[in-house]
Amino acid sequence: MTKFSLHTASAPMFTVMLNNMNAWLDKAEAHAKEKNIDVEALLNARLIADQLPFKDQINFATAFAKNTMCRLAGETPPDYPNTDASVAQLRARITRTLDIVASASADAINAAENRDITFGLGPDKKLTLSGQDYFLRFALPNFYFHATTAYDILRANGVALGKMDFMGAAFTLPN
Amino acid sequence: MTALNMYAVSAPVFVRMLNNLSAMLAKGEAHAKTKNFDCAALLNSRLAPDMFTLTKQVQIATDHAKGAMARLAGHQIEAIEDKETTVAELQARIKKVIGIVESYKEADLAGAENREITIKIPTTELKFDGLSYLEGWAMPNFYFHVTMAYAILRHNGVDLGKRDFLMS
Repeated sequence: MTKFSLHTASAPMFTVMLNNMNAWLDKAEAHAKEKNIDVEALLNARLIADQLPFKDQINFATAFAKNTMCRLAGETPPDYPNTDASVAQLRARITRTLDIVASASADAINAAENRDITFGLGPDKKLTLSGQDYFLRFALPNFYFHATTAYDILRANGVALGKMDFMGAAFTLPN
Repeated sequence: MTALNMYAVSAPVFVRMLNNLSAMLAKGEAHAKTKNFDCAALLNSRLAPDMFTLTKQVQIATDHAKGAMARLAGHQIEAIEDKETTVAELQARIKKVIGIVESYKEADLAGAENREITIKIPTTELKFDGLSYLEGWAMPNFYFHVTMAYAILRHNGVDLGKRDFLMS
């Protein structure tokens, strides 16, 4: 029997998608090697001039994942800046985020459903939402937004990604 | 106090994001009008030659929303033919699917986390329980196609920002 909870609705999904991001980095590196281009060109690519580049889409997606898990668990998220720029740094960041997701207390997260969560929106604005609204209305759409944008920037630049690279290990989500 | 359950993490999310998708399409239409070009150019646009067009992204996103609600409730999925060629027709499809999603009530999804769900894809059959279907299949697919629709519009110069994706 699957137990539905805020933890089972969040942690496995973040874990799957973060692992997928690592696999996208593999494919980006392979593409750069094959085409004999500097992988930096892909890390700095964007769909349009006033959009964040690929590397920052990963920076932001991972920030949303760690902030979400920590805040739902009632902890202060570790403040690591969204400035990772190389493949090695982005990988380390994804690994660090995976560790945070894995170590967040399921009990603490499940107690967050109706607990108020106050978080910063930009430099000087704060917003307070219940745990579930924070997760469903803010954290999850933001996370998917940046994850999908990272994927589609690589895709638009010819990296051999397909939908299954986005879904990744969907089939192995724990029951 | 609102209980968090399978309904709370599905129906309101689909409705909110479909409304946002509708507003983003409206901005695309307005952009075409301002720039004096046929909006079909946006609807047929894609990010890479082997990707789906904006029209198809909207069709698939709406399919995931109605498919998820029906499967989680154990109902038949209401088929909608993929024949839209204008923004107005796509808006009508989104509106219809919002109506379908809203026709489900919380009780329809009671215990849905344990419902056995089988998805046929070209190469194989995927077996899920309701929770892993929603969190590992339907929701990422849904967000994927809504974000792709956003990305295609954004790439084509429509004045969109993350705010449009998050809230309308």
